[in-house]
Amino acid sequence: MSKKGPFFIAVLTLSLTILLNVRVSNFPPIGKFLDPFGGVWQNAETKAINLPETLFLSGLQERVTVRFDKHLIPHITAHNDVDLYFAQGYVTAFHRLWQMDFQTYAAAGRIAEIVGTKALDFDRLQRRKGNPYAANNVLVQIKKDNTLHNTVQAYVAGVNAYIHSLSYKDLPLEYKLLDYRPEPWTPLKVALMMVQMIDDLCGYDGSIANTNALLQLGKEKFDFLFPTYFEQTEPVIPKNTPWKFKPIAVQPPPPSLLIPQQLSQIKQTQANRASGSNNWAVSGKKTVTGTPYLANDPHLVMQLPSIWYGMHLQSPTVNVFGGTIPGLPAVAIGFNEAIAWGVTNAARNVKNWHVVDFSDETRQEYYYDNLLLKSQFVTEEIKVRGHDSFYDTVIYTHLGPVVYDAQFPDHEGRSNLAMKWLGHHPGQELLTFYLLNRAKNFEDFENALQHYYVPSQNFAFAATNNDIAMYVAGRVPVQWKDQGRFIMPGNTAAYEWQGFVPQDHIPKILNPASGYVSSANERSTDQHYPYHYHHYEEEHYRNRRANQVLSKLNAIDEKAMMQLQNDSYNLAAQEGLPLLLKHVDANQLNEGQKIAYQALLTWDYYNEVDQLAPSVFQAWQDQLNTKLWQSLQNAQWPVPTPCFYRTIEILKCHPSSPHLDLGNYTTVSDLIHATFVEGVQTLEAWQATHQKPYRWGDYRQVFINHLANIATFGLNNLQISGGAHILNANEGNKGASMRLVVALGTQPKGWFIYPGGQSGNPGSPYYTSFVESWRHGKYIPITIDTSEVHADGICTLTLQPAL
Amino acid sequence: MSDAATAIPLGVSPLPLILSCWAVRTHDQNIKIMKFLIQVVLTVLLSYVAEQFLPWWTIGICAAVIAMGLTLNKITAFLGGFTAISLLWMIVATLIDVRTNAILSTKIAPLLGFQSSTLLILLTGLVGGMVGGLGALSGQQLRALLNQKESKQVSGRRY
Repeated sequence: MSKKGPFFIAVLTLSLTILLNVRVSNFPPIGKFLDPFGGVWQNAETKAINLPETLFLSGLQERVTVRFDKHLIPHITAHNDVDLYFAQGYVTAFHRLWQMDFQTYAAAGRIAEIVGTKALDFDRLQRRKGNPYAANNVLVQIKKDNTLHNTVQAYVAGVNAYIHSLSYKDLPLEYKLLDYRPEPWTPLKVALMMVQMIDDLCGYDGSIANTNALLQLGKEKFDFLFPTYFEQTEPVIPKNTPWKFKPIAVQPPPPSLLIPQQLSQIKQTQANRASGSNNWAVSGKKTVTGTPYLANDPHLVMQLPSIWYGMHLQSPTVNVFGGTIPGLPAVAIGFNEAIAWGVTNAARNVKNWHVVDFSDETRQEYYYDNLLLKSQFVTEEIKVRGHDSFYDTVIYTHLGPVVYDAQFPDHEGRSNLAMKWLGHHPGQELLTFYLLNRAKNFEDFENALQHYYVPSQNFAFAATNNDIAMYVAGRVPVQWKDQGRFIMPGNTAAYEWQGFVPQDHIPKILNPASGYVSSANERSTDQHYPYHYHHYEEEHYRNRRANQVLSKLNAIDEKAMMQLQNDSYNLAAQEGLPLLLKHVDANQLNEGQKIAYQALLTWDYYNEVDQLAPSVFQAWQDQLNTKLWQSLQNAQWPVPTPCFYRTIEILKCHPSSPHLDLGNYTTVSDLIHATFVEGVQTLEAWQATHQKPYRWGDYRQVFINHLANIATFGLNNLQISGGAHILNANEGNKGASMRLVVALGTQPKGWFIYPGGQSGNPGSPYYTSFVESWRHGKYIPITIDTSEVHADGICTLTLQPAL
Repeated sequence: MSDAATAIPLGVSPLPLILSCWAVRTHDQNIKIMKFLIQVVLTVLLSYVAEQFLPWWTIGICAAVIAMGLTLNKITAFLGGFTAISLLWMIVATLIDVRTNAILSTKIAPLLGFQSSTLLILLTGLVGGMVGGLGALSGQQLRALLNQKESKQVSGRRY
């Protein structure tokens, strides 16, 4: 027998085993991954929950009880606050570790570390936007307050207690699939999660596209297409609310306002038109119970695992239920025994761009009035899986980091654009939530908001004593009109913010005579508010629809609140469609077009899944936007197009304006008729491709992607009524990411749902268990009465201090 | 995160195979079949125990250890190791899949380019089987190598 044979076989066996134990291209280590004793098969859950009855954890001071109800919502009872947040960290990580960890990687610009070169540009942008800098500033703020610091540390310790208990077999699925391990949690990771939220909610602005537009279209046309104030608007704080303070003086803009000649192809991330949240509170005067109701449906990106995790937290100082954000301690939106609160994005523009005037190519110094200031170079090491690290240098000026320059996003050789962003200088937002969780009345609410800087949010408030309020909380810079709407010079103080609007001057209202307050991402105030500000996005329909209904409602119960959250009434259609239909010549339509035309004529303006009319209206709207604003879309340098509200206003009030570019059409009527015909043609083409009628539920796609876009871990083709600019706002992956209705009273009641499930594991039945209820506008009832909680649970986990 | 593996009826599944082979047996065949079955059952048992505590790749070592303890030729060694581990892995995977209504396999299979859970289970069997088979073959070769040295010393072949 040859000796080479055994040797060859041994080598073959060894190499195959090693090969099956490592990641090859994008495939997980296939042997390790498919091993049914430790690999992916172990992530298929056979039981609702797989935990022992008692766990001994070092770091706990006293016993903590976690009762999971039948929806897997944890009800945590602790004897002190440190234990409470420790348990919150532990239980959140138990269900959502991968998600919260991945999001901190994303915030920090570290995704290439996990997936390789394809995430490099994303990571570079995150670093250049100064996210790590912002996170360090969040951390500094956390450390300034003892209570906050202890809370964060306890939460982090809880997360780590869970991480340390994990063997490969117990790892969340995504770690096995992407083949990496969770790293220990730190307070910096909590800070990064906070930055992720800040960036998601106030990280937008349109300066670059606005500058392109202003330079290409001229000021007159720009102002015509993009007015900043609409007379018919219904702001968050009702019109004519008196402002009882003396505003601080604003220096006027420089006499010769300089708009740098910065034409650019950079396409900034835009907020999605279907994103948008609603909240309102109604006074007991208008409810069946005589006590206030509060409703909130925040519309963050719908993702799986969901951005929300339902939780009930109880200790001697607090008894609160609500939506928590995995990665952050305390409840973000919810209610306790005395109050309820909810938020919508105020969408204030708090991000400005400045051209930095460097003295030479070394970029070591830059001109600033008659000074020469030093810039600071920060080297960012971006680890790239399977490759050497990528090093990027981010230059910081006193204005902020230089995001775009000759090296990024491509090699166009443009000037240095520094980003001045309020997100870099947060307050103690987590303390706000910590205090809101414990608030007992309006004074506590107001006090909690003192610590809140970013992202600017409309806080709706209701208390058992019948106080209702709306606060547009968050810092706003003092500035002149239109400051920061365009790219500005960076070499003079004249273009900088002039301090901040004092806390006492923020837009707010308490107990209005109407008996309700509401917000839906619309403008904050009317034009009498004495400070200038603008929104990166402004809603014109949902807010007015909510007000129309709320002003008429009386004897409100939870059903009425739920119905309003799920309302599919298309106000844009009600207002715009009759005008558009007047221009359609019915005699010139073929059979298919007549069917569509007829559908519109008989439509009741509700966007329901089974109807054709909403699809016709949407396709028509899209064509109108394309045709009417073709010259804008063909502009050499990308510019925005007017919103639908302005489009209709122009067609109604200025149909013969010289700023309308009709192209090949002689009259506006011709153009509108043609866009109707083409809209229907689009629908018919869609119908031919998809082999089904263009029902709204099919034509307008609603889907929920997995956080890392793993195709089979998401949900597609969700049939749900509503749409963009409708209270039940949903389109693509944007929609009501959570719905909460609260009835305050001696024993408050809540109703809660979100498009996801408590478990973050795609192998658990609880991964998507709320989605069907959410889609149908159904809710799960919530109680914070401990005796009821304990009667209706599936298991109890006891956490004990380790001996 | 599940402990599905704890309740597996070991050694039950190969029974039909034994019975069908039994019907047409000769004496030599009987011995071969018995050896094969012993190899399979022992490999399954040892790997099952090992996988409770040790990394997945110890299945190769288990298969090798059992093959070393028996007198086998190359082909039967490989087939025995392959059969043992692929059966073990497929049975455990199938039990999990049935109990969980294929909730996860239907999501994982397409990511690896397969259409169904069944194919994912077969892939699982193939991957485990290859490591088991090659492990057993390595064990058999090692034994043969040792025997060769031994037989040189006593100058005689045992078979």
